[in-house]
Amino acid sequence: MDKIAIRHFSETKWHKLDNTATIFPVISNRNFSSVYRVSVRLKQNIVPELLQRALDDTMPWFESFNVRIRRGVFWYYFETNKKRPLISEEQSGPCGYIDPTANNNFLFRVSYFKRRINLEVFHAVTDGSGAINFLKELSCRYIVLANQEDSSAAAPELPIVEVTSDFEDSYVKNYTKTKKAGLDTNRSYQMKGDKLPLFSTGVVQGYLDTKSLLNFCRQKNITITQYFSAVLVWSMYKEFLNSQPYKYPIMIFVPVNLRPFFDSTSTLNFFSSITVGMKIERSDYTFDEVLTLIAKQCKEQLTKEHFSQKIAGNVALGKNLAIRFLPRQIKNLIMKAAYLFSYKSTTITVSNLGSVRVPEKFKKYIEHFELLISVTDREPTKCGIVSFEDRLVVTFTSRLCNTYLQRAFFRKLSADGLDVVIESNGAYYENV
Amino acid sequence: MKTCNRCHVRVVDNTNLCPLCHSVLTDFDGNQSENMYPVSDLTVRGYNILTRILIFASIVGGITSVIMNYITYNGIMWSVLTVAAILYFWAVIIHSFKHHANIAAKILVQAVCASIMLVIIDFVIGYDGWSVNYVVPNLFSLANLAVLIIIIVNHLDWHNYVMYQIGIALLGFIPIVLFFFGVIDKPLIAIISFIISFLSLLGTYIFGEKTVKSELKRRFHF
Repeated sequence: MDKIAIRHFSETKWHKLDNTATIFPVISNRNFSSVYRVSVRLKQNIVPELLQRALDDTMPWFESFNVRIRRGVFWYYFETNKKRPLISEEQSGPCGYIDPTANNNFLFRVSYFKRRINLEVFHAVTDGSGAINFLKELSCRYIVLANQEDSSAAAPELPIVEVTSDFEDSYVKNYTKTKKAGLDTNRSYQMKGDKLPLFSTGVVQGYLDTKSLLNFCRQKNITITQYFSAVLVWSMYKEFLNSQPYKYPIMIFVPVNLRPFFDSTSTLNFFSSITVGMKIERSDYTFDEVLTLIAKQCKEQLTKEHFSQKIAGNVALGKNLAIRFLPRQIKNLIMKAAYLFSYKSTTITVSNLGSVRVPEKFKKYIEHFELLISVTDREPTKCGIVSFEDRLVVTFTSRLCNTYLQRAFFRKLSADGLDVVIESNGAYYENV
Repeated sequence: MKTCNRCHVRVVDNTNLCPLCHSVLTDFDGNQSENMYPVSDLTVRGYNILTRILIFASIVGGITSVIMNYITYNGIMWSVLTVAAILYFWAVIIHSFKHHANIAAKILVQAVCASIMLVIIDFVIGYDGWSVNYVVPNLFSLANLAVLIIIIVNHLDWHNYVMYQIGIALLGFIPIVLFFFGVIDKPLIAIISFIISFLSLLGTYIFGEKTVKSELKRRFHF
């Protein structure tokens, strides 16, 4: 019996969506893609054939990516995808909707452009930390293939980066019957302005030197995320509110990787978030005042108890028998409604993936990593941060025509004595 | 790289204007860098032109027929038929023409939409029950048989059809329920439809391969 026939009779593997992932298939569409992109920029142009080979070799190690989404009577679920993921050249804007019926049913996309490899992932599959692991493995395998004389030589048998195949829903695993955090339905300041043409996203990236930024933050005794969050609040206060009081607070949504807090190695989603910000009530705030306030809020919320409460609130709903036996379509309606009640609670998202580490021998081939997050009409600008060695990349994705926020942000950084280099995707030149 | 003297940043882009403030860049350092993003296609639209024409024609056609019917009313609500036909047309376009939809799903959707359409026709031209008594139960039996043929031909893919097979079988039980509620007065066709549906479910239970049963387990997990 040949291989294909055996596959037909083998049991199809499947797993449930993790607790957070359940929301994404419900709310996502072409205009709200729930897709983020992690990219790596190498020092040489990408050879498509080798990238495809690298992807083929990477797939067996990442079962959580090798899925298609299916509709059950009560829940969505993931089933092993028996097709092959194909790479393509980057053509459209970043973080576009991933149609689950196209793309060979895969919920991620690997594309390349000149020296860059992009991995775009539908958030139901995994979070940024899972995606960066996949990208690391893919790019290291690509580097091995691209930098050997005989390209037919065998690829490394074992994965290059640390890989687990842990399908645990860590939300459920770490559920405790503690006080439950409710849904945040308070309204926050919403950025407004004319939009770029349909489905196009403006990208502005700022390159910073990791060491000088770290030194700067150490002097002030804060973390990079705290500093950037404070600069964002400051920029919005200065640029969008013209230093005037406003009835709703500026709230920044900061996703947090929960794996270190709960000692998890799950390859599914395992993140939560904190929201920091302030209501503008005066016209004479100083930046240090804002910074101290934001840093204090971060420290208060970055505790295991805080996240346990958030997990408890979410998991309790999913454990409720009455909810579990509702048909999926009715659940979808409820989730959409709950989402509508909470979606104005944050002004902007800032996601910091931290510093990416690869084995020593690959470092010389890699320039930097970057993170781009899909934007929505309600949250038209988002900010992704990744650092690699001495280069930290801050990427603003935006649907707005104006770049007031990005401009104020980078001007503030350079006023603080940091050396900033800017790159854009050209979306803002077409509107001059 | 060039420098923006107002933002105090250096700019990599191959351009003369600062992407942040649109002021002119200065101090070119001699290093011309390539643009790292593809030129974005701004011609993308939400709907293509054919879809727009069809939407426009449907709305105009629907409204016109309702108005004409109202003005020249002679006891027959024929505009209901027009509107139902337009909706049926859209159901066919949206679902049945989508090439990736499961063929059993197409049969299920057609069976549902066509029977609604038939009942509406029956009502509009003076209800005498031919739709629910004869045509709709026959339609369901036919749908059941069509799916069975597909499954027999493609038995390795049975698990891909089984959910729709069950859906269609459940449809087949509707006429007999309607008989008990007195909606149907000629039960013969309804009984045939019931038997075919019942056999379809029983057959799945007895002959269903492991793949079919594990598919059902996944689909019904809670």
